[in-house]
Amino acid sequence: MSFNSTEFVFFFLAAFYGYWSLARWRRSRLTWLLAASCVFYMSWNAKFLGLIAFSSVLDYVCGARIHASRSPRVRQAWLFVSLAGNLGLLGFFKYFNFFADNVAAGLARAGFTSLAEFTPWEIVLPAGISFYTFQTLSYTIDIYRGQLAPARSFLDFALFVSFFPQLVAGPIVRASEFLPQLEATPAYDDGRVSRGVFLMLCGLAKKVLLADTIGLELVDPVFRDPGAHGAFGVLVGVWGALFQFYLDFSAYSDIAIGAAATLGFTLPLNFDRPFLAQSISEFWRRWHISLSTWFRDYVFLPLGGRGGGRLQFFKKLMLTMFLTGLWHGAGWNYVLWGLMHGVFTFVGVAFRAPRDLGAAKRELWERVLRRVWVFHLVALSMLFFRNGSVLEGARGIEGSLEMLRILGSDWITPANLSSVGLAALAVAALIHYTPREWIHERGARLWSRAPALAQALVLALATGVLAALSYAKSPFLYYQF
Amino acid sequence: MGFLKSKSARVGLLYIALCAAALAWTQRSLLGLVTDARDGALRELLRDPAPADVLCFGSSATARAIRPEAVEQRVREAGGESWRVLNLAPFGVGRHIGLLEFEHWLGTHAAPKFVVVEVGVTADLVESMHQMLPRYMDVGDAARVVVHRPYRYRDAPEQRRRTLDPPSFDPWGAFTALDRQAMHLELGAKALGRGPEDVVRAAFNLAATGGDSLYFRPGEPFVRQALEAQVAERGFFRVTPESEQGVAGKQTVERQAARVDYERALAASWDLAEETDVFAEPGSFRAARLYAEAIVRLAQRHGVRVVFLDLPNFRGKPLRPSQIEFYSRLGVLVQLDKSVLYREESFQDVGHLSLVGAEHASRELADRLLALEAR
Repeated sequence: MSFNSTEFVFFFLAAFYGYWSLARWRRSRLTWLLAASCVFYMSWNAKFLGLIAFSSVLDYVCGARIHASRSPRVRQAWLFVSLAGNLGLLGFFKYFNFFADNVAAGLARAGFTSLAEFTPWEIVLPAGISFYTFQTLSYTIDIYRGQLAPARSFLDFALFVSFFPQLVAGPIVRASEFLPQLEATPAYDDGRVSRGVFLMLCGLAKKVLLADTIGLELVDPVFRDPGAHGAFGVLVGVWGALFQFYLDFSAYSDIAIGAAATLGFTLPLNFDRPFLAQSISEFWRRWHISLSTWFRDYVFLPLGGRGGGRLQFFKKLMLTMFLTGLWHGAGWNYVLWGLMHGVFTFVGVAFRAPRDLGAAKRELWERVLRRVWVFHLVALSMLFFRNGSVLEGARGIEGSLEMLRILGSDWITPANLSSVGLAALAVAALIHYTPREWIHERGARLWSRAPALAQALVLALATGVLAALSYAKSPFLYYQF
Repeated sequence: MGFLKSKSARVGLLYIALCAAALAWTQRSLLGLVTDARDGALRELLRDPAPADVLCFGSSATARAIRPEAVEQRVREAGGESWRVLNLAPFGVGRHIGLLEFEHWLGTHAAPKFVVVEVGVTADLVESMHQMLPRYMDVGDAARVVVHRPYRYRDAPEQRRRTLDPPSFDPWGAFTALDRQAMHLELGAKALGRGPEDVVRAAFNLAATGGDSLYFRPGEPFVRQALEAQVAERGFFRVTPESEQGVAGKQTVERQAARVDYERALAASWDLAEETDVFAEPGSFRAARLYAEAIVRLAQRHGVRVVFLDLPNFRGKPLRPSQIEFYSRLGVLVQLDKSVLYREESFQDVGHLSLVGAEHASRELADRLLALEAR
């Protein structure tokens, strides 16, 4: 049951009315939300609900034991159990074939051909495992650090792990942000519900009208046959791929944040107009914020952060970005993508000009140039990311190198780009560079003031469009991660 | 429960009411308000307890090619006997629905004298939604159902519901219908982007379908009104060579590279040196064979004679020798006189006969059936 399906619309209505009808009774309303979340997840793959249940029980118990013990060794042991359990599950379901395949290839190169035969196992990646695993890990680590008290009940914790708006593709929520929201009886705020619905509508439009159109009309043809589009076509195709990923994922986040808001929950902002970034490190403060801050807080800072000289900084940064790349998928293209970002970030931070006044005080021309530069660095990395994915036309590292060769040589072949795709890309760029408050705040205000019948008509029309475009429906790209 | 008085709660309830109204509107055919769609007409025919002498099964090619009134009239002219002929071919589906319809008919009616089963490019070769199967005969069938799953409104349960089962409420039917409308809009939009000729064509389609669709949609109202009017004026009717492919293919409709070459189509034949066992090749052949055999078995149990009708088509080559041999062995294969049919005025597009062509085909079929009965 994807967010961009009519099934979700009616599921959500049932969840919404049920939740607010039971809002007065804590246990009932939380049980209702947990049941709704289970139904939502079971619509993906019912049997993997057992994995979430296992992960929830494991970390609930580990968290409680860590908190109850004063012995550092016992606390460490329970933390180890939590880490091993969660990372073991993630490792098996997501990385087993990748690991075994690479071991087999290494053995073959070393001459052990009889040991090198490996047929990938048929392992289905459970939806959302990368996201909820990181959530539960942050829970036990925060308790271990003494920064968080355990959940009040298993019901609270299970809901934290499986809360349906962000279960499948984030944002990755910290227990310290979520659990306190379960405590107080939620007060129904109609303005907040209205803003949440508006945000969901915006997300749906981003996904269905822009991201899918750019993907189908512009990106897929260019990646499928770059030679037919020349350098300019390839360049625009790569811009399109970057915007497609941004729109697709930020659309999911918008719908998740909006849906949570209608139920009285606040989820963290996940995207903040990332192509305004003037450096790669700023880019990561604007792109998939919940993931980048997770790696910052649980990997990079515990390794020592920026301390210890340039070489140390480089090593820690590269390890963090290696893991960030690997988190996105079991493939060398993702690793390469992460390492590219590591190098870009290192160069930007370690060799920053001493006279640089900082983002806010730079001249306009410098800000624009930096943004263009950073955008193209990210686009370059996206070339490898997109080509290694399972998406239409992806042709691995060889395909990426071929596209780079075309970019460097063939400025004669006409671009042959779809006008519909170009128009969607232009609209997407316009929306991205429009101040956030203009769309989200003024738009939400206008929406809130519209009569109830007008709102209902717009929603019904949106449902019709959603259903009508169902033949071209594509899943959110981050489901695969 | 105070939140129920809030504006957002009211919006939600109004939204549900509007969706319900949309459902009622798009399901109106099930409510008995509209009966002139092809599927509705088929349902009425199948419900009618009156017996029939000839039943015709196939795809839209048969739906367009066989005019029951023309067959009946020809039979009357030839022998004075009165036959009742029913064309039960729906649009967009193939032989499997014919089998379903035949089973249903025999369960509720007396057996007919003949069943006419379409063979040819559409029935045997086209790898499309024609392969939606009402039941899994083998693994290949199941795989095809999975492959074509997104085209929900084309699938076998949907076709069965529309043509055979009593009307029932389908909560997702509205969206199914919307899906189909969107497809026509999309095709219309693509047509608009292809130059003045297509703009004119789209405008014509819009007018001809009463504002319903920019793109030609095969349906009874269109056939009855626009088509008859064109025939009265010009003697024949043509829509556009790619219209049917566009509607059926659901893909980007590319302008056909060249106009239909009637002479070449007429002269086309298979190189026997390349001939292999056609039914052992792609899955579509295999499914076509299985359903043909199932229809023949059913017919034999009820003493019905099976006539396989090879309909002309410009989308592919004529029947292969192995197909001719197969159908001739299974029943009687009727191949229509190409020298009469392969003319421009006989076709409305590459896969379907015009009214003029259908008149020829129907009368010739009547002659062949009479000859068979006389044996």
